[in-house]
Amino acid sequence: MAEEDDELLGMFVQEATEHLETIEPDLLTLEERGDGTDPEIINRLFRSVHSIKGSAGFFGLSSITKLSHTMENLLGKVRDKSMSISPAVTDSLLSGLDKLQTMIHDVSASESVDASEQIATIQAILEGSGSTLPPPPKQVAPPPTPKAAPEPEPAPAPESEPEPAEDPLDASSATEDSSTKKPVPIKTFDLDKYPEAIAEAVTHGRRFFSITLDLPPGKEERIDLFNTTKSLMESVGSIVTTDPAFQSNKELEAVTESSLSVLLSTVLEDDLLLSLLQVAPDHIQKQALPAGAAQAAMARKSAPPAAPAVQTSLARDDDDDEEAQRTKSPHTPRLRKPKYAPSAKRGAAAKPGAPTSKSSSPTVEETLRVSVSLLDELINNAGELVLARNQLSRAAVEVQAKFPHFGPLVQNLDSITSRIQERVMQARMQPVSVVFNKFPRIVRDLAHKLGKKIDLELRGGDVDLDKSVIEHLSDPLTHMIRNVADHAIELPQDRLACNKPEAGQVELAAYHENGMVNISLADDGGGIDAERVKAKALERGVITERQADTMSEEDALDLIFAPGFSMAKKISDVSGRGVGMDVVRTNIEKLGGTVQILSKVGKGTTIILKLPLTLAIIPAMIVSAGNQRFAIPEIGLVEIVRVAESDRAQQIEIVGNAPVLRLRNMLLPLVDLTDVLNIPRIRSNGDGPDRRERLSDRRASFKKAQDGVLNNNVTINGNGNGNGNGDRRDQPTDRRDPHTLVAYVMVLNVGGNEFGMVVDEVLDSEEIVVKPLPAFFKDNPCFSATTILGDGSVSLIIDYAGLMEQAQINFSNVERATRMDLDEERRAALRERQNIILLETGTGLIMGIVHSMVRRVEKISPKLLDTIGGLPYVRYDGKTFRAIYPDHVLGLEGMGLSRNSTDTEEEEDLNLCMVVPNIPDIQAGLIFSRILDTRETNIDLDCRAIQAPGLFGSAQIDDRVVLFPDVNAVFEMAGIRPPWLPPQVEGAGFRALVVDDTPFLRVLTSNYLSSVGFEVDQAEDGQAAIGMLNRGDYDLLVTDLNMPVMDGFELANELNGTPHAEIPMIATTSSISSELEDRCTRAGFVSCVPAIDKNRLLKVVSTLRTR
Amino acid sequence: MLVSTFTLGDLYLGIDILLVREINRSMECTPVPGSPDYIRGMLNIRGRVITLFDLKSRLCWSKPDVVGETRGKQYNVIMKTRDEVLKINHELAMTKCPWEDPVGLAVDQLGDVRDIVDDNILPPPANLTGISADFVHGVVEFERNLLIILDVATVLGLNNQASS
Repeated sequence: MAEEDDELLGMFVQEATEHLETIEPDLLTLEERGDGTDPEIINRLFRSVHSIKGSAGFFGLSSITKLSHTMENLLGKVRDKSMSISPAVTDSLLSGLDKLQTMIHDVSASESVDASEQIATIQAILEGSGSTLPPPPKQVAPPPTPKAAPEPEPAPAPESEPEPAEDPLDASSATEDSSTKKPVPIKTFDLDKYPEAIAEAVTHGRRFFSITLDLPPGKEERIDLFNTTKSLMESVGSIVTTDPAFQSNKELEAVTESSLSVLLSTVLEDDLLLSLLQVAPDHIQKQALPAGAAQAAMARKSAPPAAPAVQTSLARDDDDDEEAQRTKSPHTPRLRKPKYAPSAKRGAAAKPGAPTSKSSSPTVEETLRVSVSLLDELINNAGELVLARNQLSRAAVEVQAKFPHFGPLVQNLDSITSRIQERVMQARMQPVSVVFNKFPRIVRDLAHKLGKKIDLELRGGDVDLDKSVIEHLSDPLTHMIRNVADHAIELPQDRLACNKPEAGQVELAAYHENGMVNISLADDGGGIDAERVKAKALERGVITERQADTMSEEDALDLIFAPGFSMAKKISDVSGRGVGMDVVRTNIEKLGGTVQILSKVGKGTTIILKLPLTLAIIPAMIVSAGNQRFAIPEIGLVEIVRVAESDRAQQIEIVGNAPVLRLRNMLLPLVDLTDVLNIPRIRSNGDGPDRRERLSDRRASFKKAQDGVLNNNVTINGNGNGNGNGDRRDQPTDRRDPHTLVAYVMVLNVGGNEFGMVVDEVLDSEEIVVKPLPAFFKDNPCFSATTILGDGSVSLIIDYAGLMEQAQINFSNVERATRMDLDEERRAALRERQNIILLETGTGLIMGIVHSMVRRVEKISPKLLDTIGGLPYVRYDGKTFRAIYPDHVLGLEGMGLSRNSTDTEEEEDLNLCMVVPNIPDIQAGLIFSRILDTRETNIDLDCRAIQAPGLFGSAQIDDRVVLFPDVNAVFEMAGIRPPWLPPQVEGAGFRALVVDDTPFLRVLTSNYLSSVGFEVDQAEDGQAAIGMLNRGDYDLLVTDLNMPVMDGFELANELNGTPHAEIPMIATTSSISSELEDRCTRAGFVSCVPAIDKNRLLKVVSTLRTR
Repeated sequence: MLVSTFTLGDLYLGIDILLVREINRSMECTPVPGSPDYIRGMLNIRGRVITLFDLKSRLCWSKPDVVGETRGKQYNVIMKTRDEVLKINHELAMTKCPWEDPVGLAVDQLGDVRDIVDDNILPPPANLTGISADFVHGVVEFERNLLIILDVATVLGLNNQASS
């Protein structure tokens, strides 16, 4: 029994919640349109509140009843137009609604909720209006001719049932309260005439009441009043008859009396009835059952005459009131099973509004509530069906040979299976309006609170998303909306001042794009100032100054998603506590979505959330570690790097005690999946052929994986030789030793931090169905869920964030490590890489030239070579270039030993390469036989092994010796000078300190300075430089800006105020911009020059000297 | 009550049949790294992911014996989930079935279904060997055999007082 009650109560809550959902938007419309609101909306409001009141009453939830009753009263006045819709009215209703929501949300505690404030507010409005805006005068009903004797009843008994569709829904006209103060004679009905009613009443303990209604003069008002009252009455009992009797509204119109008596049979006590119907106490009278009537009725019941009995049972069994009443014969009294009456279901079914809402929106699609667990089970089985189908299809190939008809059957099954799966997945979809619809209210409240005006427009509410996504969307969106209201939209006066409409325009839209659902929140507010974001982030220590300098506007905007970041100038009630957008991003990323922000200062901001349609199916890479397969969600997978074992030592190093991968210019902390999960490692130690086979397997699967990944715009650096050059990927991999084992590094992004996960193999890219992780493994942070792979085996889905946690990767440590803890050699290696061009000379020497020193490289035919006056020239592009053979100039012809097949290759390709240097006004080029490669690498320059004038030194790249010529010197040695005079610098007797973390550039700059006589010392970062400055006197400081430990700016800052501040400082940089120059000037540098530009550097030095 | 019985080594064990969903022959399962020894891994049975417990190592056999050999012949007793039991027997679900996920127990041999009078169920004797008393709901003497009725919740580590 208790369970049953719980169930009923549950239904009440569900229904009440549905009502509340409609009430809110309606109230907002009411507020917006004021007195011009569509009466239908007001009616609907009324109806909803009324239904809640009715049902709550049955459950004895007096708090809810009381509050909803008060609200209903107010709505009644609004409906009657006896009160105009003022903000006070809607405010009070909205706050009442909130209270109601609280109470219904936790029904069992609803009695203890104090709603007196809301009730008082509404009451005050009601009373206030009573004095200022009295209800339309009601004609005091002249007493109807009292008739002691029963009136001749028209037979059949009156059908008091007007067309439900015309029923204007609700009852309780507040106007009735004040309508009649005079005692009204109450008609007494002769109950003997209604034996069925009596029988029914006796069986169910009902009482009879005669209620007198004062009829207003207007016909329509009259019908209206009657109908509302009638529906109210019918919600608690049944109308036996009326006096005067009438069949239809038409007849009611024709009724001349000014009052109407209704005989009502109900289980309610009169006091309850009074408050429900809101009629004056003197308008209602209890009618005692006539003596003997009960017995008679009982007798009749025991020997039931066919017709009434049937009808009685019919009415009793029928759950649907409306239907039951409509089908009742005129003789049948309105029956109601008291047992059912106090149920929520009954209360709601008696909802007077039902017929009207049906008539106003007749094309409501039929729906059915289905539990999510049932759906999930269906989805499971649909998934299994697909697996079984796949197995069958495979088997079918053989069977088909014998039974030709088998093929079409399988095909049919195939298509049906696909359809079922598709449909079942769809069943979990919900429209985003479920989330969207709460925002008008939030925006309204926020706007009020902040004194702003905001128009929120919702679009695309019908876009469907998976239930699981919808559920997690609410919080992030609410947060975003709050931010918009609080920060983005300006105050009305400010908006007017910048020619914007007074009310801020905010649009929340959902739409499909590329198989994802985009949700965009666009405002026309103030926009976000990237510079201010940077400043704020700096202040909060989210970024370093160095990062701030190089940060693009987009990246800066992205900072608002950084943890602990808030743009609010002051902390407000609404937002600005520093928890926020990072949570938005985390939540959206958890859903497998992304957040994008676009903003224009003064114009507005658009935030776009890209969400997957469903969480149930995600694209994932299947990888193996140990001998187990795991699924890695592709969201967050940035790229896959293939590391050959032979290169492992070069690409993977140990920082602190953690392995890191050197990838382009990043240091990626590495996690070996096998180690973190503690899986036994398998290493095939078999002989050659076996391995080879394995490797080719790997390659094949890798290729597959690559295809899969590329579709998702993820780049793969499938390069074992350590050069991150995309176009080399397509080259045959033959150069690699086929015997090397390979590991794959999955580069993953977790909340903006990247790390690498080492796996043994990359097997496949698959769309996997996500299944929850059994509770037994919930403690393991490494896994987020499970899935069933194509072959039916279970696999675990890796949770990146958890894995990181498990592996104890701490990004700040890594960052610090890269700056502090590296030993000298590593440090050098990790710093800026140089883009170099590797060229081969005619004598087989390999030379490297830094890319930025080269203006262009031309392929020239040997025919273009000419000798003029004993010197070689190249005619090219209408100009004549002096051709210089660097090996000749440097006197290195004899060293050409690294090539022995020179002759044959030259026959193959006689074209030559001319490198035109990036030195202004020089018409000369270096001639090489061919370009070998371009390479982004760090140069470990050895200045001692091979020494020659005009040569910086040599370095080993790919086991080959590469010579680095000093291009400037080569031209000088060849006797080529620019038409202008080189800057005259006499550095002899002066000491210069060159600070640069890149050994190559350090040597370069030092050479430039020492070539003009400076005595040069070198330091590799700001810290070291300070040490050296403290030990010796220097006359010039040339420093790189971008360095670890202490960069150029920090160095300048450090020196400021010390005696060293007198030393002129020149900054070198790889990328110069006017902005950077400004900053350098501000920081106290004399000038800022490109790192390799000898002339510019010397020019600057020369200006110093003249001072 | 009806009890589904099976053997595990020398032990004769039983589980309330209302809690048993189905019994399968042992099949390949996916181990879960980092999980306790007595969890063998996860199985896919008709699209449901089942957590498979190695009953032998759970019941304090210190070492899982000769892996592979015996496993092939083993059976998996798949238990109903709490939701499933709720549909049959509300009280049983509330008291005996705290697990919400589908689980399975790996056993050696299947036995009969026995009808047991509740009164015959005795508390575990103190000299019970081969199994920790924590896992025992009660014992019933049967044809000079001792049928041990398992406390599945404890076996699954879901009874707080005696999970270790």
